[in-house]
Amino acid sequence: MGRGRVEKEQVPVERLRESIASAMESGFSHLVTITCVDLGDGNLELVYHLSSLDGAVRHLSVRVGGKSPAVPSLAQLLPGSSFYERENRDLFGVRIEGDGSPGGRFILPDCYPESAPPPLLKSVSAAQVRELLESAACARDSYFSVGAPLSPESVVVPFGPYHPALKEPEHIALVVEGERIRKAFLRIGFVHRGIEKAAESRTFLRDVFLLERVCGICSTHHAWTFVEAVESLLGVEPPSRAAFLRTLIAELERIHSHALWLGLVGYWAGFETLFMWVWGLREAVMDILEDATGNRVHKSFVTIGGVRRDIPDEKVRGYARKLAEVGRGISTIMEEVLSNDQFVERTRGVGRYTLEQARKFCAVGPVRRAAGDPYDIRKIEPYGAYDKVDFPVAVTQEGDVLNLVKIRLEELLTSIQIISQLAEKLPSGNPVPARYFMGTVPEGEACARTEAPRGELFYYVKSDNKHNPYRVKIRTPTIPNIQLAASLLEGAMLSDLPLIVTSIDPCFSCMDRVLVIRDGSSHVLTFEELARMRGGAR
Amino acid sequence: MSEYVRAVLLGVREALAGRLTEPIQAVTSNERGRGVPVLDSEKCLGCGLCARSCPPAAIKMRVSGKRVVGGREVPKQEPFFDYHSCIYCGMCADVCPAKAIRMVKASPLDAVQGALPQLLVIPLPPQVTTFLLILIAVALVYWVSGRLAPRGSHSQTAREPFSGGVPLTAARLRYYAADLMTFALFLLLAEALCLLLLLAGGESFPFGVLLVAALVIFLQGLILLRR
Repeated sequence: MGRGRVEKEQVPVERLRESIASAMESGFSHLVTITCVDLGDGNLELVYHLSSLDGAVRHLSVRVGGKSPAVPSLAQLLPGSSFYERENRDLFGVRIEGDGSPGGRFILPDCYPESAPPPLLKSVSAAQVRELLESAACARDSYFSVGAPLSPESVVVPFGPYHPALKEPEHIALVVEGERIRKAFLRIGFVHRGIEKAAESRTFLRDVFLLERVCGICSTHHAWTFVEAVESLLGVEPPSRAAFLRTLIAELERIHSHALWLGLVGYWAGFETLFMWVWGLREAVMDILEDATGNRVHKSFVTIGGVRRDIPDEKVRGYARKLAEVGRGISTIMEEVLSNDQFVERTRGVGRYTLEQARKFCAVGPVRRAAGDPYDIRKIEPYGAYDKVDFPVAVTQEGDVLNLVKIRLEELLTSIQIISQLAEKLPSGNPVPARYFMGTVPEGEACARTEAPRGELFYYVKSDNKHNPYRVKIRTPTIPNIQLAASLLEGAMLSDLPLIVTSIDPCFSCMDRVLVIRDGSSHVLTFEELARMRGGAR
Repeated sequence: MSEYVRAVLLGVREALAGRLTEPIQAVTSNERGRGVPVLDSEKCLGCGLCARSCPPAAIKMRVSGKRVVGGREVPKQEPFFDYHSCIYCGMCADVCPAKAIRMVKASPLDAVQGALPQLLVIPLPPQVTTFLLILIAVALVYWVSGRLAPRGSHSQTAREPFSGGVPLTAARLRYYAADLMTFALFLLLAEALCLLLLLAGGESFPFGVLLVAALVIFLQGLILLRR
């Protein structure tokens, strides 16, 4: 199982690539993420979390040390690993051998000096990082512009970081020929907040609130996943009523997240009425969330060992009744949307990808399911109360915007169905722990996965018998998905860009870490190089 | 034709249907929210558990008085909520052993408004304080000198404290532009002098010194202009 304490298999660095290839052969084909941990004795440990499509996870661990630690790249084996590797390179200084990617910053701002120590090492304090960043000049305009004329006809269109078509900051430099995008250079990371570092310096209890703030939409999922990992370190099992209530809030969150996304897709497809309809329905869900937890956005509901407040049975039944109404509204919208020729033609075949592509980039969540894999953590590795309810997993055969809309509409109805089952089966008992957990967590490593609205959310927690965690690793669903989206942009029409980027339901603040320059083919350029190529243009 | 009729009817119906959006008061003052933390200082033990468990560290313990423990007087501490950092999670109310913190049903907007007087307690940077004080002091001098200036009944020229000015009837031109410029000039002079004093003497210049400095400059200016 992927949840619980981590049992690692030690692998020597030389044999890493073969071991992973053979693990992938034997069915562990999905690279969840690569966690790097500073062991504090001069050695770094890299844990490769490989998942099979039916829920089993293997953890391969390599140790590297010395002045310049290095691991071989897996990019040839699995292109989706590239982002994870470069993340570790930036934050831990692990050299990646043979991925063809140049130096340059990936997650950290460009101004973070090359000579400075990597920020997530234990020897570096948060204050030190802050000082480094404050003293550096980060707003050089070469970071925001790319000059890479591929042919005399092509034009570079800078897109973002602040653009009306983007809800969150990111920068895409588009090389276009006419209306067609030839290359897309993505650069994300404008909202990097260093939450993983901050989590190391707070107590477990305060971390729950901090990690909730990784994302404003799937905040309960972040808190829950972290709490799951901590609970398995402590050997605590939450009361079953608490598991049901967590599931209830998580499903409500999924409804509001999918509804939000559906509205945005309608907006970018030129169907603003859809936006108004769906967001109107979503308001009912937000009111339920506020009534149940006390807050609309950051619910602060999950805590270690249970939930923070009980919700009476009759209230839960009332929510299920209200949601049945919402469900009727969604069914109507579903009919209207799928019978609307303009909308169907606008979205069908836009941003098309195959199952092979989705697997190659380790895509997760609805993006993966649209391509044909029934990869839903709720089903393959049930957590909370998902093993006590019966629900289908929506799957379509080919990824495009229309199928993603269909899948998410189906999932909205599924979530409502799940909630009505939860209301029926809600067990009695006290879900609120007698007192908050404020102690130390015994030494160990644990990981947890949940199916956040955007896909598989992964947490790795290492504790060392202290009040605060030794290391918290977060892998949000947008990181693998945005790799796919970046490759889909090439060859697409310029006017489809907002639609394609929105279709994967990106959450840049969650991902927040990524600073990507890629061109989809074999080589990757840094912004410094590109700026140099541009030369005396300025 | 019937389409037009239907459209008109639809329009009329929509116009009479009332609005779909909710007024902001209804949203912010609903009963569903968790509320804002409010302290009952009589119950407070001063243990500091709330401050230690506050996720954003928005609670600071401050000495608020004395308390008798075992016949000895010890300083009593009380939590101080920074409502701008507060995330309204209710953790402090949950952990409080004396139940001294209550979550009062209110919107954080109310709490932040209530927090404004508390903001004055938060120390401003000394430079800001100094310049605000100089502004107040110089404005005071200007006002006082205006009151003290001779007001002859025979003419309106004496209304202006420094130069006499020209008789003007329009209310908005009652202050002579040249005088205002003088005022600005002396304000800048006073600020420059006080800045020099500050640089020379450190941060702890009392208000009185600044006031006297500003007064001296102003009186000199007055004499200068009056000859």
